This record gives sequence, C-alpha cells and structure tokens, in this order.
Amino acid sequence: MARDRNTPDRYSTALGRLMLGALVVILLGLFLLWRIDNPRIERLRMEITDRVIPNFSAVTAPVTSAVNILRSARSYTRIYQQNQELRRELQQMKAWKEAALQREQENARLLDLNNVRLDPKFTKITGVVLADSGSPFRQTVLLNVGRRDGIMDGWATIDGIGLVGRIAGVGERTSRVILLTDTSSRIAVSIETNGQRAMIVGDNTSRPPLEFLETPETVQPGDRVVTSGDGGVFPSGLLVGQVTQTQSGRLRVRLAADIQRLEFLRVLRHQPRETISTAGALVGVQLSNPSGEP
Amino acid sequence: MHDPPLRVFRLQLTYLAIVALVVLLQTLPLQGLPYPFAPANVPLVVTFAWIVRRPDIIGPSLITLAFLFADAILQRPPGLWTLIVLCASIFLRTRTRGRNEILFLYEWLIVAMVIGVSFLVHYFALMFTFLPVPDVQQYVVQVLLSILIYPVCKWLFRPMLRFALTQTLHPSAPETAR
Repeated sequence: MARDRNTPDRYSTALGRLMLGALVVILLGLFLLWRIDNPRIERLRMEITDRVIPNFSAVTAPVTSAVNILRSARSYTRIYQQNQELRRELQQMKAWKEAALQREQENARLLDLNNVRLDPKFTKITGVVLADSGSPFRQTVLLNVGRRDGIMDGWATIDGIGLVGRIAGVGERTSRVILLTDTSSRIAVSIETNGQRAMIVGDNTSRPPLEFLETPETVQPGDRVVTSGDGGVFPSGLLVGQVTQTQSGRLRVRLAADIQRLEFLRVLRHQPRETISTAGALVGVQLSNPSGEP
Repeated sequence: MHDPPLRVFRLQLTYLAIVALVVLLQTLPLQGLPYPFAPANVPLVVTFAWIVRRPDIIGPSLITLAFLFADAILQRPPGLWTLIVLCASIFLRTRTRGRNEILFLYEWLIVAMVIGVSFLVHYFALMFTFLPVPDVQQYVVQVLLSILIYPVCKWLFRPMLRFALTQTLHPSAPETAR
C-alpha cells in the first residue's frame, strides 16, 4: 500500500498536470466550438464516420447476419400460427390484386388519353444500411451511398413502401438518415381523406404523434397519411402510414415502413420545383412592354 | 512494482480496442425500433474499472482519445461527455489511489456516486447550453444499469489487470517478464 502511494503515475507529475489542464481546455473548447459553429464540426464528424464504418462493416456483416438467422430460427416455433395468418392474408391479397389490376388498366388508359408524362427527374438510389445510431436517444441509420453517388442533404428516404426519413449529413461513401421517430424530425404531412395538413413530430417512440391538426375530431383512425410537400423539401404524396389513436385519445401515426428491420433504403432523387415569380414566365417568353404601361 | 513498458503499451492498446469495439457493436443495425430501455454505458464502466485497479495504465490522453472517438461515432456533442469522463476518472483515481485492499462495497459505492454525478452533470450541461435533453426515465435506467454492471466488469478484467509482480510467476508470460 505504502509503495503504491509513493509511485508517481501519469497524473501527478508536473508534466502530467500540465497536459491534463491542456486536455480539459481543448475539450471544453471543442464543445463550445461545436455549439457555436455546428455545421463545420458535424462535417468533420461525418468524415470520421465515413472513414471508420465502411471498413468496419466487413467485420460486422457476419455478426449481423448471424443474429438475423437466429431470430428467424426463433420464429420457426410459431410457424403454424404464422402459416394460418399468411393464408388469410393471401386470400385478402388476391381480392386486392384483382382490384389493382383493374385500376392499373384504367389508369393506363386514362394516362394515355391525357398524354401525361411523369416527372423524368424522379429516380431513386438504393443503399444498404450499414449502422444505426448506437444510442438510445437518437434514431438514425447510416447508408452506404454518399457524395460519390450524388446523394444530397434533405432527400427523402423510403423503404419500398413508406417514408423512413430524410438525409442529414453526407460523407464521401456514406450518408446519415434521420428517421421519422428521431426527436429532431419534423415532417409536413396531409391526411389523405380530407386533405388536412399536419406535422409528424418524432418523439423517440415507434409511433410518432400528429401535431398541429386543425380539427382533430374529423380524423379517423385508419386514415392514410401522406407527405404534403409543403416547404418544398419533400415530394408530395409519399405514403407515411396510418392514423392510430392511443388510449388517451392522442393521434399518432403507425408508420407504413418496417423500421424494425431496415436493410435496404431508397433515396429519392428530388429537385425542388422551379418557382414561378413573374406572371409572364408562366405563359412563355416575357414580352417587352413598349407602351410603358404597368 | 513497475510493469515492463511493452506490457503497459499492450494493455493501453487493449483498452482502446475494447472501447472502440463496444462503440462499433452498438452501431450494428439490429434494432430499428427505439430501445425499450436504455442500455448501460459500457465504455464508462470499463474506464472506471480500469482506473480504480490500474491508474498507471490509462492516462488522460488515452481516455480523451477513446471517448472523442465514441463521441464522433455516436453523434454526441463532441468533447462534453469526454470532459466529464476525464474529470470523473481523475477524481476516482485520487479517491481510491493506493488502496488495493479496500472493501469492495466501499469502492462500488464511490464508483456509483461518481457515475451518478457524471450523468447528472451531463444532463445539466445539455440543459444549460439549450441542447435537447434525453428522456429522464430512460436516463435514470441507464445510470442504474451502469452501476449494476460495474462488479461484472471488474470481475471480467481482474485477471488481465494483475500487476507484473504476480504476472512473472505465471509460466505462460515469459516474454513480458523480460
């Protein structure tokens, strides 16, 4: 015991103390700098993540797949029950398929009649989920597509069915998606049945609440929720989910995307629509005004 | 009494590797839904277990390096949690230094208090800088779990952190004794 107390270690020498003081100042400075000039430090963070995670994924891929196989194996125990459920669902789906085929034909005919051209810029990039946030207080995932694939901040991300989140932070090879459930996520949506506008405000639960509804009493559980495109950040009409009501009467959204298992995500390439500022630009080439009248 | 430098260096590398591995394993995309409860903060507990047992191995710069990396990957405000862990480790070192044979219960009590205070300071630091604070309920669960896994952590690392004096008696480590 006495020997221990007399041995100098890394902290108690003069040089050690000096270094400790310097470290404390540097860390405090780094935190304050991040608080003041957030984007620059966040870009640095994205670069670090960009270096580390893709290299690490080669190691973790076997672990991830092993865990997933284990999980699937566990589901064999209730295979009979699942089989019954699937049969029932299949019956329903057949009915839906008939309906969808009819609609498709009708739709094709009408589009042909109108000679509508769908937006050619509307394409997507598919990426694989490399990592999640690793923290219980953040809901984000990291994709393996980045700047070199043309990803840009703010683009919408879907999982094939419904909206998952938006891109926030792009590195050279990776990009970060903020999920709808994250506390910093705010998405403008509309209720499809009556066109009411609302916001989905993430609160770190699996069913984010609907806020800023004008008349919540007209919204029924089961109504479909789609993006409204307000603010020009997102394309409008992307499926988000369905309205549900909690015991306390609060309206929440059951997400259509299966956020429990995100493997592949599609990033929608989205250019903001050109804004029309003058009346003449709407019709054609702006004519000069020879008479000088307003 | 002193370890050969090679062994110290190897232990330092081991510490860095453990923290990095824990952080990267946390980011595995296995759980898409929000956590039902917040898990323990393993890097913190590992650091405390090591610093109580062997303050001569993990110095301030090593702790800073490890936790800045964790801050960067886990999207925490960079530097804040590192600073808190650094100060807490130094406090722990001065409290338990030179008492190899202190009662374990006493040691656990001190560590539990330090963990609690660290999380509290972190919470108020976030609040005073107008950053979003975590959910209190989950936060408390995280503190309690962290305190609970401390004995496990200590027991796990006990054989690794023995002093060189006992290590030389071990036949399997002749190269470290040289």
